[in-house]
Amino acid sequence: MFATFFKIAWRNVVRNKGRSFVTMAAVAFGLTAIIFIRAFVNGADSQMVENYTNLIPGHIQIHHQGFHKKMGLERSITDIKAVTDVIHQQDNVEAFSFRIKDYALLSSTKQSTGVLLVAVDPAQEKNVTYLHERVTQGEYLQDDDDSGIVVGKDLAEILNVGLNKKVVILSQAADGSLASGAYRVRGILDAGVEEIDKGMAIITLKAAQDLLVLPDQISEVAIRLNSVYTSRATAAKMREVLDPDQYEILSWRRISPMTAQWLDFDRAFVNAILFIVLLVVAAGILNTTLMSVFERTREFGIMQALGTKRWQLILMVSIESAILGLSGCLIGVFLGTVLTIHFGNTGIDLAQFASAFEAYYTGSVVYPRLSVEYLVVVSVIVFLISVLVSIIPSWQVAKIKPVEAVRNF
Amino acid sequence: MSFIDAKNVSKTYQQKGAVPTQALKNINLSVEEGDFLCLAGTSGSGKSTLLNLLGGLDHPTEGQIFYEEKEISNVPIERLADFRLNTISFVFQAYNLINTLTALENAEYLLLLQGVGPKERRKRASEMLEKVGLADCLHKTVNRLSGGQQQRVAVCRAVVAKPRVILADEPTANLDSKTSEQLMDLMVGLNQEKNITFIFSSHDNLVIEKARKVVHMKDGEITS
Repeated sequence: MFATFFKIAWRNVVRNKGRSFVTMAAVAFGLTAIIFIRAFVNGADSQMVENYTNLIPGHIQIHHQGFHKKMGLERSITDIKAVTDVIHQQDNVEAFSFRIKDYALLSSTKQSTGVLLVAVDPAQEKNVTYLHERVTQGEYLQDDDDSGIVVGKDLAEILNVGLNKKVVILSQAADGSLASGAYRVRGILDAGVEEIDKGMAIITLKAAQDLLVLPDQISEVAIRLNSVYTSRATAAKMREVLDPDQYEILSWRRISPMTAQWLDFDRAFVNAILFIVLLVVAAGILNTTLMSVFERTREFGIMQALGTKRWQLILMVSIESAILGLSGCLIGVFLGTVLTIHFGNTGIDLAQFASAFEAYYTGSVVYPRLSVEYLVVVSVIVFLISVLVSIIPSWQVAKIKPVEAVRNF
Repeated sequence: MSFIDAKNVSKTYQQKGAVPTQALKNINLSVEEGDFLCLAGTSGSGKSTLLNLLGGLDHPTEGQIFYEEKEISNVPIERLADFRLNTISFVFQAYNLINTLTALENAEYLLLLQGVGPKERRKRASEMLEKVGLADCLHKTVNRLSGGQQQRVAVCRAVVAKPRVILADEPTANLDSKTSEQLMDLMVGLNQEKNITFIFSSHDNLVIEKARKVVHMKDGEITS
């Protein structure tokens, strides 16, 4: 029976080529749009997360408990081995870097300003963040350059210093003494993020340990994983091993809840847009199915008069819609995938909006990316919608008494 | 009781904002199994309305319709689908075939709904089509057939399902006199050969002459 209903449905699809094409095109273009918009947003979001985590935070940070809320030398990690042992147990860790962070006063001969002092092991840090690539003048710190400093471009302007100029760091050491040291500007970085360019200075870990009287101690371990998307699970795993009273282990989402919230909002917003696109597609399919079904009211009436049951009529119309929906989905998936692959390779240049995007850590070129899972899920949803909306008009027609449909029996 | 009984059947059509139209007035009709009965009358006499009611396509406003003492006039129309499928077949004035299907597929349609297997379906439908002279047209879509050929396909569709009753409303109205006669001969033959009850309507004397029983109708009433 299904074969005959399929045959009738197929011939109805072929019988009205124009309308079938419009329905199929609506599904195809709708799905293409959904796939490509999602891919674009995925690409932009991934870039945002990568750029953000690559700049300074890393994927996971380990601190002494309470450090994230209130930074201070008294909240330093003393048992570095215990922490590194746990890190080594994770098979998805690509690299990690020790840091000391503290607030300090940075002075030139002409000006002084408060900064976030970040001390790093330059060799380790290069494997965790790409901050060294943002040095636009001079060079990044060498491993043993304990008298060098790198400052943000806006900070250099505020202090009115250039390369090789001397600046002085003033802070309070861990032992309560006044920490003071002179450093030469080796490099000026342009991270494109105000809080870094205007308020951050970088020295070597060794220099900071000496300056702040913090031998063999650090205040932060920044970890880079092989995928940022595993950061939450990995942080949770490490939390099971490291004493939570002593250590806080934060994924990037907890390091920067604002960025995470923005991403969540972004996704919800895009989902809302995609839902509207879906509704438009559904309305298009409903419209053409309505036309197609009501045009055949008489034919359905005759079929009912002959003994065809309501559910059989609905099945027949649903098969018609399924044929159109499936064809549209296949075309949509093909077009969406081709577009995504093409622009995933070449990127979409948004240079004219670059400043707006950079504020959210997204580069000026977005590379759309898509998961197979999403492709499958969204295609199934669109297909199901195309079939489900056809039930409405076919149910309406199937409800009509055969005699009303046939009238001239 | 007879095979089919219509008792005190009336039908009034009431459309919104329009004056009610009484299409049938107090009809009493008994049909025996194997009858070859013609409802004769002019246009508007109520023939089609009565056939609709007898076919379970509509309900009377008043009165009852029985098939072998079982009332069908109180059963919801949608629940009569199986009854229509297994007991009644229809031949429509305008043929009313499914345009997307071939002659053979149209003739098979009721068998498909009855759940007859594909081989048996094909055999019965093609044999019947061959019998009515459509052996060359089995695989032609119906819109490529002439009116007479289409009506013969419609009769085949009705007959292969082995119904007990075939209701035909003006089956020859769109056919020329020669084709009409051929169709009537076919119906007479099937009635005699398979004992299928035929109830058909017509205002054509040549057709009416072929009937064994004639019920004359005028203005919604049976006159003789």
